[in-house]
Amino acid sequence: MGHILCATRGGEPSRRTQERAINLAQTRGDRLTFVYVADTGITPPGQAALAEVVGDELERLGHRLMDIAKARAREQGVVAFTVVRRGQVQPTLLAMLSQMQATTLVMGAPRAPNGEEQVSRHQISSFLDEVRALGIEVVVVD
Amino acid sequence: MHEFIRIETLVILLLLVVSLVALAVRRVRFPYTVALVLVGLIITFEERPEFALTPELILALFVPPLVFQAAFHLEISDLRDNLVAILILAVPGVLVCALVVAAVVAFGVGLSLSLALVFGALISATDPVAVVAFFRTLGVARRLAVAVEGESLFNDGTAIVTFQIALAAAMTGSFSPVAGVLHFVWVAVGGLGVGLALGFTVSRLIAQVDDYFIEITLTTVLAYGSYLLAEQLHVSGVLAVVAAGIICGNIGPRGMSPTTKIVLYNFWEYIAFLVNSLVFLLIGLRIDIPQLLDNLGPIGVAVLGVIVSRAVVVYGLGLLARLLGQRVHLPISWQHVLFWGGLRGAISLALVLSLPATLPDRQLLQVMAFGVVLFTLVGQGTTMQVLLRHLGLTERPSQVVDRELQLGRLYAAQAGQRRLADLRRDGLLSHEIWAGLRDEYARTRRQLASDLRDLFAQHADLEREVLLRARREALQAERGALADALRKGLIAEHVYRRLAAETDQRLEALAIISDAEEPTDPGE
Repeated sequence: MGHILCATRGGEPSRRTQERAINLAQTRGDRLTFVYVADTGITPPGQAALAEVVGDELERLGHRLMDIAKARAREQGVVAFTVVRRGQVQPTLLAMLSQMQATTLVMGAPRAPNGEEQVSRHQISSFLDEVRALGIEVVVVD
Repeated sequence: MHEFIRIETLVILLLLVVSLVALAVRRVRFPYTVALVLVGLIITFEERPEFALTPELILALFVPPLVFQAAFHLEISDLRDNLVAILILAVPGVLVCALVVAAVVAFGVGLSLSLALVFGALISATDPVAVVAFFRTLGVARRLAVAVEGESLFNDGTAIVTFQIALAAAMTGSFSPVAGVLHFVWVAVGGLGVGLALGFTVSRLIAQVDDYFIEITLTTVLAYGSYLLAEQLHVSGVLAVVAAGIICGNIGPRGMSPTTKIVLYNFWEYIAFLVNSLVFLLIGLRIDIPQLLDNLGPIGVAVLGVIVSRAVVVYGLGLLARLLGQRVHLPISWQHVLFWGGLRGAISLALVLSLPATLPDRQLLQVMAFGVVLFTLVGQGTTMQVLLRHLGLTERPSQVVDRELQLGRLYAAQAGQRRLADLRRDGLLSHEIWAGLRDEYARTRRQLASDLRDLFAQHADLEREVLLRARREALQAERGALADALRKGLIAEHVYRRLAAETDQRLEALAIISDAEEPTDPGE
């Protein structure tokens, strides 16, 4: 049985990513885990003292969003697990993929709410290459 | 003593009127500042209070806190994104406005060119407070609000400098364009320099202190001190306050605790409310309706000049900037809002009241200025909401409206159910009536809750927004409970401060998370 890791952060694009991951878990019979990474990098440099508190609130938000993702999977007959971690998104995901022995990574193309790309194509491409080098299948949902 | 008591009584009565008007406009979507002017006008029909609306009162007492508060809330990043548009409107825009208005009133009213230029300069400062309040309540794009407020902040200063140059030319009968430009640059740049220096200094001081009483006092000293020092140095006091406010509002918070930030923002929001209210009420009390009616012709010409000049500035300069390859990036709908949102107010009135007694046609210029201010406030201020709706700049995503409809119905149903429970407990409802109504409300609530779940399932964007809002409200309730605990003597003052600071840090963290999610141009 494979293990699908779905990186998600809530919102409409994440809903599509979650739906895709749920669909894969249904068709393949794989185990499904939703992952939320609380990235305190959003804290402005001048407010670095608040990074810890920002991380706490992001984790709290993440747990609630993971509850929603889990409920979404349950409605479609899939039992999903959830994990919330704090750190930079890509290194944290890489570490978790190894620790949890994932076989598939499902993620959305990183975009800001105004539709602009948050991360450069080169950065995404490098990250995906690293994941594939671990022998893990990658599914990117637009 | 008697005079002091009279003034004190007048101020308290004005504040009472302000409170009553503020309560009244909550029920109707009417610009608050326009309502104050109209109420002031109505009061004068009964009795005109004795007071002097002097230029010193407006410029030295009222304007610094208003300008400081607006500049304090202006993010440098937002200012940078709109800087070209703002500077075009605030610098060449003011000069073009002054010239066009001067041409229209010189031709239409028969004023000398020098006096017409004085009028053109003093009437070119915009005061959009009446329309900016609408932007917030109607959810207009933040960039548009920044463009309108940013223009007003900077053109206050440039209008005053232009007015001083035009007035000197009118009084002396001589004018040198080169000297005029040099004087303009010296006064403007000098004022900005004074503000920047003081803004940085106070921001550094604030970083050394962790006591919000002291920090609030320092910002108050900065708001008035920058104005007074700049005026002493014969440079622009208003631009000094603008620069000081922007610096303090962007750098100062880095050295503030979350508690201080919340208290400071609330303090300046209250001061701005108070001062704006008094200014517009006093304007209404000062306007002499019979005098306006006797001068409808010149006022009409002045209004026409202001409207035409505003169109030339907004549409003309915008087009010119694009032709010259400047990326101004103001959609045409926003230009319409900028055009119609160019209201006039306190600065123009302060300048016209400061005209020397020996200036020819002084009274005519004052009547024209009051007439233009009244027209822009009542005519343009009250119709801005219609324009915003017509341009589709207040449209919100349908799922947000649907969510609010469902939430509103659910909230109302819950309140209804609670009231029924109270009536039952007080023995005012029989069991049969109570059971039937209770079951009906319970069915309604279940249906509404189910509809909301479906809505969230279809529009996942609402999930984060609802979560963040719920967390914010819960934290605010926690903060209120801490204050109650202090009042009841359950916790000591130092314990309250520590716990409140922790809650404020969490609220600040939520604001950072929300800002990281906010779309940049929801109105486009």
